[in-house]
Amino acid sequence: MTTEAIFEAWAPTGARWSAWAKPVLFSCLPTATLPEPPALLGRPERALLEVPAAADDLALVLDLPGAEGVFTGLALAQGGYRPVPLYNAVPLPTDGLPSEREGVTLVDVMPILAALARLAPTVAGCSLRAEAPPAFLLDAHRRHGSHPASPLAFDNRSVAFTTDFPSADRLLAHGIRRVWLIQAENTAPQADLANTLRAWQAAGIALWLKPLAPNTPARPLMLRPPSWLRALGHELLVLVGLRRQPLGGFNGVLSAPVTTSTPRSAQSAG
Amino acid sequence: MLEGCKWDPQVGDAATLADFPLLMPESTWHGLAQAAEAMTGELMAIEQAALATRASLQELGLPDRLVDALYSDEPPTPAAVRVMRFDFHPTTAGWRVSEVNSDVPGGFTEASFFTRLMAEASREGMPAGDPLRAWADGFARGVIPGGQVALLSAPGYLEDRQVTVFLARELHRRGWQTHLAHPAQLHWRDGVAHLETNWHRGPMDAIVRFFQAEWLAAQPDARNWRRMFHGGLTPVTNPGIAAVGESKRLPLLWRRFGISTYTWLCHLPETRHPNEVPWEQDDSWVLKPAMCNTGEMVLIRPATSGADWARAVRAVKLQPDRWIAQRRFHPEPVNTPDGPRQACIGVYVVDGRCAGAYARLSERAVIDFAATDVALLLTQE
Repeated sequence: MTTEAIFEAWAPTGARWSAWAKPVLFSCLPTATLPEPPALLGRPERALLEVPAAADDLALVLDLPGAEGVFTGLALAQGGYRPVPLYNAVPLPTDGLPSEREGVTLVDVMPILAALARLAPTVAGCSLRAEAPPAFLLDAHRRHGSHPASPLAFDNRSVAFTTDFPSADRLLAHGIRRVWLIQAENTAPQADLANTLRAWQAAGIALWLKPLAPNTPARPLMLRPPSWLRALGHELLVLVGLRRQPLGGFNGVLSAPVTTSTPRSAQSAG
Repeated sequence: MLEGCKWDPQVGDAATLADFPLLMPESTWHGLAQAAEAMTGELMAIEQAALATRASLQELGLPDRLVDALYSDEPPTPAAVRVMRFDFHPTTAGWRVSEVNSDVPGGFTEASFFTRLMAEASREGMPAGDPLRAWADGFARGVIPGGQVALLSAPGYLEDRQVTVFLARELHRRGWQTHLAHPAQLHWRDGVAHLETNWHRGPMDAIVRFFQAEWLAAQPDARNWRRMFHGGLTPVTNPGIAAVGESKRLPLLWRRFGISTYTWLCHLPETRHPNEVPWEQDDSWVLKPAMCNTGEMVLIRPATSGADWARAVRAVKLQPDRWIAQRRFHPEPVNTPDGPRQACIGVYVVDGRCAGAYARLSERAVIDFAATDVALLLTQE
């Protein structure tokens, strides 16, 4: 498959949530020498059993490590969900070719890239409805890396911003009233993702957490606003010009006469 | 998106690529291009004058460590190529400039790749230029062919990394060996930058800096980055001294230098120290921080929530020397298929010559991260 066909498989034209799919990794495909995707871990089938059947009032967010999110997303696609890749980390392009050497990059995205490429025909074959409810796919390693931090490594860590997702208004407009967060452990959501979930919750969307750890059923998830002390601390940093935006990059701190000539053009001031 | 490295085509609920072009008569464009080139010459002269005294640099509202790096007896580090982008707005009083992106201007893929595709698809006009090609041609004049190039950007900022990857691909296509890196991975020996990473070690023939100067100044070890300002032998684009022009406070210093700023004065709204004007009561003033890289930091009281305005008042009163007050201009909306929009035409100047345009449209008073990128195409009269 061509790069365009692979991207089209995961973000088909006309599908309701395709606009949010991130092109980053797909953009790196033409030069990538792909490894074999890691073996299926058995979790996807289990996830499918424990997640409600696809329903128009339910969206999923999968915050799973590496390619596991892709495999689980594919399993969910076979159950009627639309997997929407939100992977923001880039592989290291050296001489135009992403490097496969372990530890060269802080976040190992090659298994994700491989899984997206190899599973594209399968996801395309799912024949999902254009309105299929979304399952947003994130890499749980995005903020901290999948390898021990090294100052010599390519720092490709990334952050999931609120603007990476549809707004609560958009979700609600399409009838989505519930969001299930699926992650490996029964822990609080990652801080960057929590911002988005908190905004959705504030708009009236019910949140649930479903850990994939054994014997951990889904539970309601209540996210509190950041403490006043933390909010004050952040404002002080903004006031003194030390911070561009919350949870921003890792090294911002340190880390005309006007007419319409054709139906689809605009004319500037002359 | 895939070939042109446009990785943020959707921001929240907003699509950031317009599916229609913005058309402009060639004569209008020539006027903007001439103004941008003239302002470049004036800016370079002012830049040199500001660099001559520490007191001038301190008045620019820059972080102390950045002032330390800018003020030096050593020769400035050479520029591989110098690029800046002037943001013009059609207003009820004619074209006005809101700022020059002198330090790390982006928008190359939108202004080059996307605009070319739109020109081919719509056949309604011609691109105003190709900033990527002009930039790479300039790079080729200043850097040995086939050499090693480090491209620096801040981890976690996808909108920055997409620029470095796009530029790296172009340089690689032209024969350079490219490395995406972080300033902390640069080490300077006898004025030459060396990259030390676990995929490459060795001297660099050039550095592409897409890492804001004030962020460099926040890095813990100045030895990694100060040579990008002065005393370096490895060419840098843009060199660190470009930070001078990025300060929105530079117009406060113009008069004392005795340098002509005629073109700037024709296009830049009146700019004052916040303590000199009644910005709290008078909505004809907007507030900008000295180092204001994105539109969301521009404060217009009628367009700002009460809480945000209160925060802004506190920030300005706490550090008035890091802000400016600027006369608000009144945009002349452009009619588009999506309705009336505010337009911003970013005019690139590469090594003193106009090189193309990065155009954006916004529903709101400020052109910010949620603005729509639109291809600017030139039409015959």
